[in-house]
Amino acid sequence: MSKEKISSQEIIDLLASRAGISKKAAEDFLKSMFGIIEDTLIAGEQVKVKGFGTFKLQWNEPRKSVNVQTGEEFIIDGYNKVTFAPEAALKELVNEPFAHLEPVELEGADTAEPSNAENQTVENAGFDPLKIFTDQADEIKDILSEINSMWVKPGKAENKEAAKPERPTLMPEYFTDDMLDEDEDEEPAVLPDEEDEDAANEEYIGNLVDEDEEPAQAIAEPLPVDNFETGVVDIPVLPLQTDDKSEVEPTIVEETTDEFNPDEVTKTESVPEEVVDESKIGESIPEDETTKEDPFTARVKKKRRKVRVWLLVILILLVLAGGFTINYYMSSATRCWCEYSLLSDSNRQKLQNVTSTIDGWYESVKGWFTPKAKSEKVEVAPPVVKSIFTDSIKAQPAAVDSAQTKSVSKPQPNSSADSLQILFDQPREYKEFLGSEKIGGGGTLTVIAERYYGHRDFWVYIYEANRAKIKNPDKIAAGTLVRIPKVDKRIVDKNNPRCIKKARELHELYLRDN
Amino acid sequence: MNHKELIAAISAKSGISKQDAERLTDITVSVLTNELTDGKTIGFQSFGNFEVRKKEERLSVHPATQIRTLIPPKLVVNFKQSSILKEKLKENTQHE
Repeated sequence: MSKEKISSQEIIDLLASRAGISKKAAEDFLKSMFGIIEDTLIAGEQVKVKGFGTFKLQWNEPRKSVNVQTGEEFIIDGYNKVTFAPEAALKELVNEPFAHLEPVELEGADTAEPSNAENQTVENAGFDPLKIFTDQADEIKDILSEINSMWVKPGKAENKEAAKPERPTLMPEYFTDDMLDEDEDEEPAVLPDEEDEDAANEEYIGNLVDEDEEPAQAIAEPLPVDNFETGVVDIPVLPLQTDDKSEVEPTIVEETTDEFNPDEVTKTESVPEEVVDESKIGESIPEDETTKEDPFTARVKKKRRKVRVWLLVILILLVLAGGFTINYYMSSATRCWCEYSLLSDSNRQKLQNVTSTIDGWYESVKGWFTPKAKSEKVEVAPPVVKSIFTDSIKAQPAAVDSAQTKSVSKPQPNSSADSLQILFDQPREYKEFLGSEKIGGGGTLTVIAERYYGHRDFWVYIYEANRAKIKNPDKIAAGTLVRIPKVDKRIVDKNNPRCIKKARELHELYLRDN
Repeated sequence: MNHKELIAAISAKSGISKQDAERLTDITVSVLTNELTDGKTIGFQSFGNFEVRKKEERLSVHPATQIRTLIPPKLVVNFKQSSILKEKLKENTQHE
């Protein structure tokens, strides 16, 4: 913007050329015009010029001031000042360069800075877990290849197993959520949670993965040690095996390992007790009587050792798969999705291979074990063996029970969600009624719905029940008596987002119809 | 004094017809507006200066709601009376 100053002379020239009059006339005109404005102002009146603005006189009160040089106080006399208030048209014309700008309401400056900080931390968190994740994926690949090599030579497995670092076993919530998520999203109700977690956890995931790795390893390490001890003592592990088998199967089929870690811990804890008992028998039996069974038992022991090795492999595979998926899930790295899905598929295939072979092992070992137990029962130490046997028998049904309860309890949300879907899909019949309301006096359908069902969106069910009377739900004649139907509480559950969603769908449907 | 009265006064004082006075006034106003829109300062020695000033953007806080609003910059017309006019006013007017 140039600050060029033009004098009255130039205005006179412009006026003369525009109006087609002489400069003298133009000058006279301008002088008389401003003279009149002055005079009117002096007379105490304001002057309004159309299309330009208003001139006014403003009285400035006398005020005290200080002489800057001498520091003396003096009084500035009051005086009149001509003020000019431009008209709106002039204002707009002058302000044209900035006319497109509008006032902007701002968020508080306090929140502006933290939000920047948040973005930064999120970015960091998004980056770090990714790195960690890829590192871990490499590790897991290594371990898997090791396991594959062990498949060929299971005799060496125990040593390698003991030396192997354990994958972190993280919190069960993440585990299940992740698994359910993989499970073709059968439970949409879980998804919001997951998303929330995603968003909320994103920030501390980086730390979590870092920090959890060490403590989780510390927790996980006792597990293989326990198993390893049992391996050293050389005892039958039938109860352990059945437990694990029943545990492995649901985990693979349903992939719900909610109580996986706790169970594992308690079982590995309980195993040593049996181990001690049975080892005593194992020692006592050959010493006392059964010398002819020696080669037989040696073979059984060999078999059992192999079974134990495979159990260890399965356990580690499961833990690895769990840790892997959890880590993947927590990092929420979508770009690693393809790699992960490939990996997890191969994992699952391996797991299934392992379990199927274990099944074979188990069957054969069972065949070995039962006749032997019978012979022992006949020949020696009936009370001890009996107790063990009954223990193992008890343990078996218990394990099966727990597996059953697990398999039953997990799908429950699914089935309830499905039954809800069935409820939604069923044509609703309204036979029982809570009461009746008069439209107009008591309010609209939404208000009534809120009063009876606790949520506005459930008005559609009232409408459904009164379709004969109401043609357009938006235009109901005042005084119409509507009956409030008794609706299944599972459908009008204001705390269930699915119900509200369903009601909204119906709402859209009915509004479209009309 | 409104526009009509002003035109009547001008025609009476300078001896031109009201129509001419009105036309000239309109042209004067448009000329002044044009010059101001171009960002020029117009100075009438005996009267004062018309000037376009830029008001910088600023942050205003609503005292009651504490809502912070960013007010964009804008251009406004400013008039400053000349010292001649000020003296004239001092001599001829009295504050009651």
